[in-house]
Amino acid sequence: MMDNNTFENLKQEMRRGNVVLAVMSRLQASQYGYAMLKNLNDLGFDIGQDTLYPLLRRLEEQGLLESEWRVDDPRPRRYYRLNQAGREVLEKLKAEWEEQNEIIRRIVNETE
Amino acid sequence: MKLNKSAREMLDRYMLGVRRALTGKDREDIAREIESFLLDSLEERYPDKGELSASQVEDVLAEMGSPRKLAGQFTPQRCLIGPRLYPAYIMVMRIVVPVVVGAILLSFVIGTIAGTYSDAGFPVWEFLGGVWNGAFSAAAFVTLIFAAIDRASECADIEELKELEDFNLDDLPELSEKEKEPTVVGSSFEVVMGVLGLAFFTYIYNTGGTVPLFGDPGGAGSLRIFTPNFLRFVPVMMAITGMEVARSATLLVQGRNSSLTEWWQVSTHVANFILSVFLLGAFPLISLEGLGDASFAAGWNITRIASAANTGLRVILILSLVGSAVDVIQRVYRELKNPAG
Repeated sequence: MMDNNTFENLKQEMRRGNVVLAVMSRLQASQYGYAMLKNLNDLGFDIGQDTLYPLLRRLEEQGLLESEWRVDDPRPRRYYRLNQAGREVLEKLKAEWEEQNEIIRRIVNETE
Repeated sequence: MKLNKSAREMLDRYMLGVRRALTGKDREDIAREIESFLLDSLEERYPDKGELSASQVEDVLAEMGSPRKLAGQFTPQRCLIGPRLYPAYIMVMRIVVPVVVGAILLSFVIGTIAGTYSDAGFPVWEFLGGVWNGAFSAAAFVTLIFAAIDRASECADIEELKELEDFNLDDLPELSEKEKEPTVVGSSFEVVMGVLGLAFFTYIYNTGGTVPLFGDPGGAGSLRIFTPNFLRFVPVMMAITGMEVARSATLLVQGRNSSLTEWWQVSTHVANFILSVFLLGAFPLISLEGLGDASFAAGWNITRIASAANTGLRVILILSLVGSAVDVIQRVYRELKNPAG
């Protein structure tokens, strides 16, 4: 019988592919890291700081988003937002995700 | 939300630990974001609290784990070593590489003192090649081991790492250690003085310990300051000075002390200690031969002056020996108890 760890690992692996899409989707408006973390978790998407913050840095290095430190908040916070290139990539990713979702749905339904 | 004095101090100590665990050009930026994240976490946990106490801050920090663990979580993922092992990898690397380089340096110091290189002179390129090979091999070996562990235990918890990841208040660095950070002026001064020292040693070595007597109005004689006993050790002094110059240059680039520069300093001080012991057994080191021929020194008792100079040098060497030993003990104790990161 399969243990719980194996299932959790497979679940994590499956979710990993959607993390970029989920994070980029929330960045159409400016957000700081902690708020985004709460926001995604409140929506039922389980994500930790060890995934979110390195991803934000990677996306920024890839030129898909911009960030700025705002000191007008109660304390300095770094805000992230998609730039034009990021918005274009997001649209393509969404279309790809829809297509893949449809394919997977067909495969799973046919198998059943 | 405000933090009381002890809570602020605890957070500052934690952040000092975080900064020490971070590497790369974005180090300060990532540290700021981690602090912002911690303050947001505290605010969410205690929304109605006016002023937070140290115990409340400690509760949140304990959930985050050690500064090293949190720093690793915010660092962009490396290809070969994942974020789970990266903090431990950096810690091991910062100890192993300087220790290997220090061991190679010591072996050259001992080899030079034992006269291994006396016939062909000090092999500078062989020395530099040895240091590079040693550092590179040690780094590659540690990287391969960690990459293998990372792949072999992809999803499993590694018990040995738990201790590194757990928050422990006693492990946080003291804020007073921040004041010991190097300054640009201080490090630059050390580099300049080191380079001048290297130039002096090179000159002395090439002239056989002799300098021209420019101050002698009666003639163009020369003065042999050092004896052949002293000259035998000049290549070692150059190697140690070179290591100190390289360390000061590293401090200039890094802008802070790290485990690398601390262990580096320990290695050079151990080398200095050994050198001082050998120098103390090789007296007389100062000769002043030729000074008696100078017209301005007529009537001086050169033998007594040379004897006094040797006694003075002996005292300086003994002080240097004690100073090196005390410094090595202090640094090793500090690094083992609380690594500079």
